[in-house]
Amino acid sequence: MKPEDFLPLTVEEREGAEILRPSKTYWADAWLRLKNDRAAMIGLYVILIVIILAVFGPVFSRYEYDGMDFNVSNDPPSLTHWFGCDMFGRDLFVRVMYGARISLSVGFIASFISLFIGVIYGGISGYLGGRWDNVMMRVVDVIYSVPAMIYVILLMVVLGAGLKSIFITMGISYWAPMARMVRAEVLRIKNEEFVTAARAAGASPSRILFRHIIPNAMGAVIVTLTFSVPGAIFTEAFLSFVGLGVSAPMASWGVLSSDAVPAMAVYPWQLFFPAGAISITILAFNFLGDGLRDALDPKLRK
Amino acid sequence: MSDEILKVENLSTTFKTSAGEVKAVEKVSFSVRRGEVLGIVGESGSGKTAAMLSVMGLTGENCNVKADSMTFMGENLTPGKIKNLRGDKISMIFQDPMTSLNPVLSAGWQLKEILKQHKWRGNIHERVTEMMTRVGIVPAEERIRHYPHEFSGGQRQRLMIAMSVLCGPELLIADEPTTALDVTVQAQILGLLREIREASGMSMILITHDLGIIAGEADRVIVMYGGHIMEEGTVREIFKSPSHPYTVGLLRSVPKPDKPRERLIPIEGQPPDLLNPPKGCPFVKRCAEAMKICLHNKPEELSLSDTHKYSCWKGMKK
Amino acid sequence: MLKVEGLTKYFETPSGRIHSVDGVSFTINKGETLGLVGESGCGKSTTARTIIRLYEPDAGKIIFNGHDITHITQREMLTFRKKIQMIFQDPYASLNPRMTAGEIIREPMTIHKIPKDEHSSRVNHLLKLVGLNSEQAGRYPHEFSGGQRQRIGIARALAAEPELIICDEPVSALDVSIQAQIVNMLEDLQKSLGLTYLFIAHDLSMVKHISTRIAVMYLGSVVEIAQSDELYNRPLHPYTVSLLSSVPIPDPEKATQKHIIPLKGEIPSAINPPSGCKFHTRCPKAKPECRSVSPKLEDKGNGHFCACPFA
Repeated sequence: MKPEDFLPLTVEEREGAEILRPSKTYWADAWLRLKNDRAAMIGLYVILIVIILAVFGPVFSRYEYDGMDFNVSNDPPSLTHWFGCDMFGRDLFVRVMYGARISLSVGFIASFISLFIGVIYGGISGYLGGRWDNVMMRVVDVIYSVPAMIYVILLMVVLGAGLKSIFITMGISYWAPMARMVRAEVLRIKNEEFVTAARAAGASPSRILFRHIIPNAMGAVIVTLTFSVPGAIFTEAFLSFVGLGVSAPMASWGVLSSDAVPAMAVYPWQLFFPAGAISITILAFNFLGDGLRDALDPKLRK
Repeated sequence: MSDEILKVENLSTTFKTSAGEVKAVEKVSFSVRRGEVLGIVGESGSGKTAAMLSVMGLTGENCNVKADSMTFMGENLTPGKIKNLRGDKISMIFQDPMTSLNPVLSAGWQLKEILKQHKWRGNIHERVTEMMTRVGIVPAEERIRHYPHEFSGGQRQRLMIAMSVLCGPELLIADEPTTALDVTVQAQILGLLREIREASGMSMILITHDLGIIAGEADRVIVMYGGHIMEEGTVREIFKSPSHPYTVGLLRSVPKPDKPRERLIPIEGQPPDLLNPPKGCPFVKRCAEAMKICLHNKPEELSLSDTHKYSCWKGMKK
Repeated sequence: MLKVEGLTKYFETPSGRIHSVDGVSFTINKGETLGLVGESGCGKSTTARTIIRLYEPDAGKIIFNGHDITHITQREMLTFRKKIQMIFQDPYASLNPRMTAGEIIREPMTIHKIPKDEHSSRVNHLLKLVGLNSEQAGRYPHEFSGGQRQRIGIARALAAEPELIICDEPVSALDVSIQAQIVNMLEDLQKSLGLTYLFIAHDLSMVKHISTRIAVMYLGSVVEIAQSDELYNRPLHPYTVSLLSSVPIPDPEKATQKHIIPLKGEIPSAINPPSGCKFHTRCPKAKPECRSVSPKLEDKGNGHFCACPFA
């Protein structure tokens, strides 16, 4: 110990002792957390790969999704046909990639329709509260209680089977859970003290809704969205599987699986690849959703 | 030294968080004597609760507890041992009585369960009603069937006290037992704890941030900051001749209602960032008397009397 | 400056009507600090929130600077909101986590149509005023400590240049050493900006320290109002006496000598408040007539008002 050790600390030295953590926005912070979540990142990469294959795969392939070649019908997986061929000699790899286009677009479009209707409907219901909320939520209950199958069958009668019916069905039935979730979030956030503070400052209702409530509900909305995409993909696969979906020669994962079932015992790969694609994609979305929920959960932040 | 019922030497507790390792408690040593009240004062993040949870073996999974030695009534406190002592010879009450009670079980059931777990030999029902009456929840025969939500905040804390002294503990650790309560209820609860202590001779560790409560209840006081013990002494030594700049600052920053109004003298700056603690004294950033040496070197403990110790470089200056 | 007369606010619940604020009257003079104390559930926060019309009053009058603002529309209220601002208890909950400090402080300026080109310079000025620096304007609430967040909350309250600030337990969520920083700052701001405060708290020592006058509430009613030293040294109402005796004093000698006058039982429910004097169920001096006669605030001299005829 030297005598000069006991000199008073200068202002600079004191400030230097202060180590400021770099500023991070909420989203940057959440991204950092997500990056540390291995399962969620694997999910994210798988989804990105599936999307890239769906968009560009068929373009670069030697085969057409509807190009038949009876010389190779029912061939097992090989170097020329990675996933083998179906009974018409169509390359399964390109058909699975092409099916991804349909399955993913059903998943995303249905989810975005639900996002659009659900956030507005749920937001208004939760914000107005009281009697309005009651009436609006009973409507949701009714929509929720009718199985999607009924809508499809009814629409099928009017519009015929096909993509259009599926989109409309999803649009009608998928926004209900989103609306419920958004309403619950809005009700919670509406009672937060910062909203009271904004009201005390004289903020208008629209300002409160759009500046304070909705930005704080976005985390939960994104999580719900992530979980609703695989739900929609699965519903489409199911509808196509039972013959209510897209029709040949177009191919979604559900149609491919459905076509493969009769010959399952003889040509198992015809079922294995499309079914595997469905499972992997749904699993990836669920991993990502779980990770996002942890990363965006405000309760864990403090 | 049979007088010391709890003795802890060099206790360190670290938590692992996503943002890095947090040293909640660092090399903390203290002891509790039979029948005394040890007050632990500190602000949020001072490590006072973490230290007690470490002693009780109640820290979570992502937590690492190390100590040179922890003994209770002369016996080594191993994780297996503390499990048996908990709720029996050492018990703890918490700040929030609502979350410490199970809402779907009746008060009586929860009290009886504790006795059953610790293999109480006498009549369980009698013991429970006796304790409920003692903490002022009457008529006990009727209220024993009630559920936690049917009690007010103050009554719940009484219930927690009944629960914690059911097996006749030697040591009660009370973590901010009155922080969530109103002053008049606080006075009732502190009075109740005093009565029980006087009747049973048990020791108590009282954790609080309220200097007024410490002044009224404690025999000895430990002042904690940033996971370290800053100063230790009898209640008189701490309040009448505080030696650590933090203790001095803390005493000056509270209003004294019994004296004419004076401007408060706050401790400047912000509480320490536990993820990036200063290398030297944890208080260095906010200390008015900070010196160059305080930045990089941890001060050693200095004794002012048998009971009064503090850790500050200012004492080594001469 | 602010005059509240017979202010009453009920809340309807499935189990009955809660008499949260029941005929509260007081005045606040320009430049002073009125402390409002009482235990949880006594209606002190509801009183404050009803004054700024976050709740609609059920009866009574609120007069601010000579204008009756009890029943004006929310649109008309906007001009008064500029003059009456509020500071909240919980520095974690009262700031929007998705807005930066700068955006939070700027919001009242936008609402009250202060010219846009002045905004940034005023934000910087306000940050400096509350002891933060302008580089911190871009940071989010979670990056600040509790005391710093409370400073942001204060800067927000000052942004519209108010005359009256309602401080709802502004320091009770903060650490002891930080409380003194905030209280000193509030005192300094009061002097330099000529502010008037309504200071709500349950910590009597802090209220006594900051207030010019103190009003004590019990179960929705004001039971005593006096100058703060007068109230502390010569409490009249039995509730105030008991409340003051329960306050811990940070001095071991005085603490052990102190005589606490304990209150019997529990605070009654505000759904079915006791008849007559609401305190009679727990009052050590209760007389039979207290059960039927509801006492009014009486002047006991020295500006000391007390709602107990026997005090």
